Amino acid sequence: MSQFIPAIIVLLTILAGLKAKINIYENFLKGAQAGILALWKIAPTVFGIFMALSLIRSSLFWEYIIDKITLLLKPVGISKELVPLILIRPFSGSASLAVLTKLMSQFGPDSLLGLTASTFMASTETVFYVVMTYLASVQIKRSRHIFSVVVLTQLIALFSSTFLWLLLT
Amino acid sequence: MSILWSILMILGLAFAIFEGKPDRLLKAIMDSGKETLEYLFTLVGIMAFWSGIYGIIEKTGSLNLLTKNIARPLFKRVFRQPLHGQQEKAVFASIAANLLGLGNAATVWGLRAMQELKKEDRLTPNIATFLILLSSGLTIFPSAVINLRAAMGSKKAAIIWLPALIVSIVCTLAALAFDKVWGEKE
Repeated sequence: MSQFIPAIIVLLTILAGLKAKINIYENFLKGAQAGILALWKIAPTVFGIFMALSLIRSSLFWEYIIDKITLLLKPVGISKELVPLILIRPFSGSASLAVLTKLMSQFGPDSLLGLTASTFMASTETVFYVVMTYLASVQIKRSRHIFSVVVLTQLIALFSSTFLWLLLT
Repeated sequence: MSILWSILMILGLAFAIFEGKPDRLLKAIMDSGKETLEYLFTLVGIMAFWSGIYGIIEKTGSLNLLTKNIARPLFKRVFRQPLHGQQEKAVFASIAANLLGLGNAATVWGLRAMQELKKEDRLTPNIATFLILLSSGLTIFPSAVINLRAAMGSKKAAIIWLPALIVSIVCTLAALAFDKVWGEKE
């Protein structure tokens, strides 16, 4: 069902345009130009995030920090396998989807780990990516309290998905 | 955010040096350059298209009615400063696209809303609230994850739907509360 939504929205938009008697194509092109300009503006930010992530993930520090965080989270019932997903999720949607795929192929999508990981993934956003690119697109440099709020939100998502599935299974 | 990036770079580079693998920098630059271009290639059509569609929606006035009846009462509670007509519509379109799971349209319209919200070169309370709202991950149907689960052979791919919805609602409410408390101070 949900895969019909985009086509329906576009169809309704064009019909609404006909009804409002506006120049549909011209407005489409104007909007499209704004979209391509916006993409141009976020391109350096995307590159910056990908590069930093690539450097970190290929280093020994990555293993080290995963071990350290596991020590911290183990007592509250969060296993080591979830940690890479937790760390990558805020930065990149495609990279975290790849980590989730690997995790599910190892433990099965319907295992406790698979269910917890999919729920965490489905209820969170690529928060650092969103905040960095959106702010860069309008040349704002300081993010003030946003950083702490999104980190806390991510942690709440992690703990509530973990506990919800511990209760349910 | 700039501090976060610097920390990642410093750690990444320091470890590359200490591990005796300085060529990692070049590899990271080349790989992520390629990755960025591939990403931008897949995004360019999507950005142009959904931004173009928004260009039409904007002119038809069909957003006016929806915004007035659904968004305005909600936004009054959530945002600390009143939103103007154009801002209200762009923010509403972006949040609606997020809720419907139109990930790509959501990004495009989100960037559009940022342009409307921006008044000066600094972070206004409304921009902070908008970003926090987007970052809390509220979606009605997380189709990407559910499709992946089905593809991985899950017997009950959609079983995560309700738990994910509950978690994302809890997160959104918590995020808005944090924003109210911490945003007020600054």
